[in-house]
Amino acid sequence: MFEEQKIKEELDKLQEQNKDLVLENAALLARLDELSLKLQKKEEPGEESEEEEIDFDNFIIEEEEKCEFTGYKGKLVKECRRFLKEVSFKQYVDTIKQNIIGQDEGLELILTGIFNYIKGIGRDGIPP
Amino acid sequence: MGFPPKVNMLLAAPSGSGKTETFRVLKNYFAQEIPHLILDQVDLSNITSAGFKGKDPGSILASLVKEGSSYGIIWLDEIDKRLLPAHTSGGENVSAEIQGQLLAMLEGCTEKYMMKGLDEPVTIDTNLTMFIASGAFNMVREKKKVAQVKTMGFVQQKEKYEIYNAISREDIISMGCLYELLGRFHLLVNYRKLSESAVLKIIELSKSKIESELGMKLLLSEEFTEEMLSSSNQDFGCRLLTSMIYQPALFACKDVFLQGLEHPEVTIYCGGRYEIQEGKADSDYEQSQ
Repeated sequence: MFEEQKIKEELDKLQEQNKDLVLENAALLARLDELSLKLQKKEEPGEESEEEEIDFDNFIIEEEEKCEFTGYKGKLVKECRRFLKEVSFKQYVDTIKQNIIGQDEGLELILTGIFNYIKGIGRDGIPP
Repeated sequence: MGFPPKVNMLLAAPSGSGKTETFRVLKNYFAQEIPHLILDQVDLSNITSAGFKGKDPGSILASLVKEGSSYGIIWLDEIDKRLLPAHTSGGENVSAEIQGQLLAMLEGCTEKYMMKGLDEPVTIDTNLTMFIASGAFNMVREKKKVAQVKTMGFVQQKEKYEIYNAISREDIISMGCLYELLGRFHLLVNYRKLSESAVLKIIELSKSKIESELGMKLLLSEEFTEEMLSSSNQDFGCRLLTSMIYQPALFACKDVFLQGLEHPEVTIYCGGRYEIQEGKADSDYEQSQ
């Protein structure tokens, strides 16, 4: 059981590393394209390219968005992340409690469980 | 690995204490904040074992299958109705069978589900699904009430059993719940007795709602408010409060129509009595109508 957990942890770690490497690779390819284009321009003076310059930093973010936020699951993950970013736990609990009168302790436990679940989707629910 | 830390919860709350309201409020809230989060309520009293008239346990996940997503919160309402033994003429306990079928679903399993309108089966992994079950557990409360009256002997008139007393895991097992099923609910939550200020707030909200529905100003006498306060934590719960105001208000409404009053003010007293007066035109009140 312990060994199984250890393997799972290592697998998690490797997948995380792999994700970083994929993004890094995409960025390097973009850089390569950019440099090739520049070189081409130098070889052919007088001909100006109308193509926009690639924003190196934003490219990664765009790629990440493309990778993650597609399909139903992707939309859900995106919404959960936005929710977690915009709404604090206290705000969420206060809003719900305004509408359910008189049940503090029990209701808070339920709300905590749900918030944690949403946090889980937002944090780990990344589609491959 | 993309597994949210899900916790299955079991909510024990007497009738009229806000179980359904909790679901309704959460549903409305998340419909705005996270529209893609599935939050579905399933009435377990309609679920029967395979081969019997009713819905199949697989239909619990219908909303997830429809969207093809394993993520979502399924609210299993009236779970207490599925804990009491229900024997067929052949001696089978249908409730135990259904509980058995729920085990794997609550624990987390990957299964293929098919439903009308789909071309191919959808795989649902309930490891990613959160389950919240709720029930009033009235049988346990009744049993405890009887037990308490017996031990009290001749003083039973002086003491009242509190229906909001917490339900324990032992109580639920005594109802007929399988140990394995109860073990799959990580958290047992009890809704408590409402405080006086909470009940007064609910009375005020109910009054305002009825006022705007019937188009007349309502005044509640002190004795009537006291009566409602003492009724609120009994068997009917807070549902009773609305009907306690609504019934005399509706009778008064009939009289208002017959008398043709334009700005009626109705004072409600104990025992369903009421008094109608022609009030002054209140611009704020009329605007709220």
